[in-house]
Amino acid sequence: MNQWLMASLGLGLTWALGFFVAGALARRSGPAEAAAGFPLGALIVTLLGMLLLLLGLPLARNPWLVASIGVFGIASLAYRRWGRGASAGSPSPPPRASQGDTALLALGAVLLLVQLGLLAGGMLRIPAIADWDAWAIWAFKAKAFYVDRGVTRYFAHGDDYYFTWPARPCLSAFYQAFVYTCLGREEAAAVRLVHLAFFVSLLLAFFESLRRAVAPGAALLSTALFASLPSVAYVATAGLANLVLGTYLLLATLSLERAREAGRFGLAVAAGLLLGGAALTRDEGLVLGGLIAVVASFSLPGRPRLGPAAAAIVIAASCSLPWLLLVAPFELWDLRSSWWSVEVIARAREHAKDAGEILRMAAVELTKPVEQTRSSPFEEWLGVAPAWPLFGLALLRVRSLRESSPLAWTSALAAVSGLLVYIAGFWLFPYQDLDWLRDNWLYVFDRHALSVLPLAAYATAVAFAAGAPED
Amino acid sequence: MAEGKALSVLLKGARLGAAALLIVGSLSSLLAQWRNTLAPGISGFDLAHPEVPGDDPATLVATLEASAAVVEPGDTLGVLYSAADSNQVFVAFRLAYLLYPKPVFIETYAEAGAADEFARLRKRGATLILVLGGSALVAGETEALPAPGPGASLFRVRGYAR
Repeated sequence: MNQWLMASLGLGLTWALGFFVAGALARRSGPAEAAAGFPLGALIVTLLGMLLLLLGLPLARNPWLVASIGVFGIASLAYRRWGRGASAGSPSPPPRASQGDTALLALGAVLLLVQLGLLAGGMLRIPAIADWDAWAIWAFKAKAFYVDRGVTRYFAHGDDYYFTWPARPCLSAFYQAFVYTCLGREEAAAVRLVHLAFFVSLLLAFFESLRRAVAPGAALLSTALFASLPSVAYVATAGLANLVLGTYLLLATLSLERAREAGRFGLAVAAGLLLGGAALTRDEGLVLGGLIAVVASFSLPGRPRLGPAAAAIVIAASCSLPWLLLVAPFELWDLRSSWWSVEVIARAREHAKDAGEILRMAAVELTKPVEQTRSSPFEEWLGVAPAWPLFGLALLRVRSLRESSPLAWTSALAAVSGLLVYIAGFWLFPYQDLDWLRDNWLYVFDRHALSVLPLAAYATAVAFAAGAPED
Repeated sequence: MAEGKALSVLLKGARLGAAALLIVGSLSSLLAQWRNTLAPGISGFDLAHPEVPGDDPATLVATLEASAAVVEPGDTLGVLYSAADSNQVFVAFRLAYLLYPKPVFIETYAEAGAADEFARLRKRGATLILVLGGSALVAGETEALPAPGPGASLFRVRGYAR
């Protein structure tokens, strides 16, 4: 019991630390800061763990907790100084609830509560980490960091553990190791609890972003619908990093947009930290994060505001440095050698003839129902997962919302750009033939695309829930 | 103008259709979650070992447990598996996960080459070698231990026997 109390304190400390940092940077404290709290806190705790290792200290409970509490103290002072100032506010007030909206509010609340209850119930009933990648990659790394109190032995045996992709950044696994150290043991339920906390942050960010564009009832119902998408619901607590990356990217996009509106540099710094979280979560995080920063700068008419985007990219890249320094001394087998060579150009030319087929296969993978046991009977009956086709439909509308909801426009562009980055990755990959590419890499495209699905779902929700053009 | 009107009507219809689709889909997804949470047996996976793939999870679990039970302190386990069989891949990776921080060397083999990989594992210092499939291809200077499961063979390298 005391162990779980310690783990809860660790999780609570993480959220409070992130909330204070977000509040101090935004100079306000509202739902957006509450949503950013846990992901920002997890990033800071992870960075502190990496700094301990770089200083030659072990990843033991005392030094890690003391360092986190120390930063928490500084963050709380900064929050007291700056975090409770005037609201950054948006230029136009968010839409208010109408009478009909109340029914949507009630329906959305019921659906969301049932969905979260079922996710929590599922975790209690079957706490094991069932997904192959979740235990073979992410939980493996977390166990290694926790058991070894460091990374050296795991990296030194990287060739034997090649299937865990040792060199790849792994914020969620590193943070899981923090929860293990608080708990005093390796525990599958703790892994799933960490991912549930990320998921709740994602839902809060999704709702808060929507609330700025549509009435509260439509925002809550859309959030509930997003939460119950089978692909999202399955990954939410499975222990995978795809949706964690999606959480960082959505929060960073929201923060960049607020930085543009309010002209506050602190919000650009917050966006940079969140993009840093993305960069440390998965390999493609820095690329997608940089892309989002650029898209956010150029998506709206008028002079692009490059300053906040440039600051955000520099901060995000800096967040990756400790991981790179930890990995650098070890010769780890990795895919990177496939990319850092002139052969990429030759491959681009050679694979040009396959571009159309790769696009078609990517579309098929994106629209297939989830193969895991938690797929919805509706999708199985339909034979298609409707989330991405609906986003395609929403793109028809979303451009007309550039003025009234620039975040929806930016999100749609970022989601499309992100998908194209993944598809370009498949295209440039040194594959043997297209069947091999599909069976070994493309078949999980729907899972990779979860990193930009929150952005796409946000744009879709605004396109369908906001008033019609002539309204 | 007419084009704009047509687009507007199309979008309104699409909005209604999409909303209906999403609500039905959402309820269906909740049903799936409900089914998996409260009656997971319906979905077919083994409640005690939801991570185990294949049609016969009990056999894989037995192989894992029997293999792990033989590993003594000071042992280094080597695992030979065929990448073409996902059950073998599962056992190899899962043993590395379960036994960490004990080192587990894993090697894949092709049909004709298991003996080479077997020798390589011995050269690297494996004291116990689990061969998943392909056991007929290895021989010499090893003591065969009781098979941990169907299609699996376990060998203790001579000179390391306790």
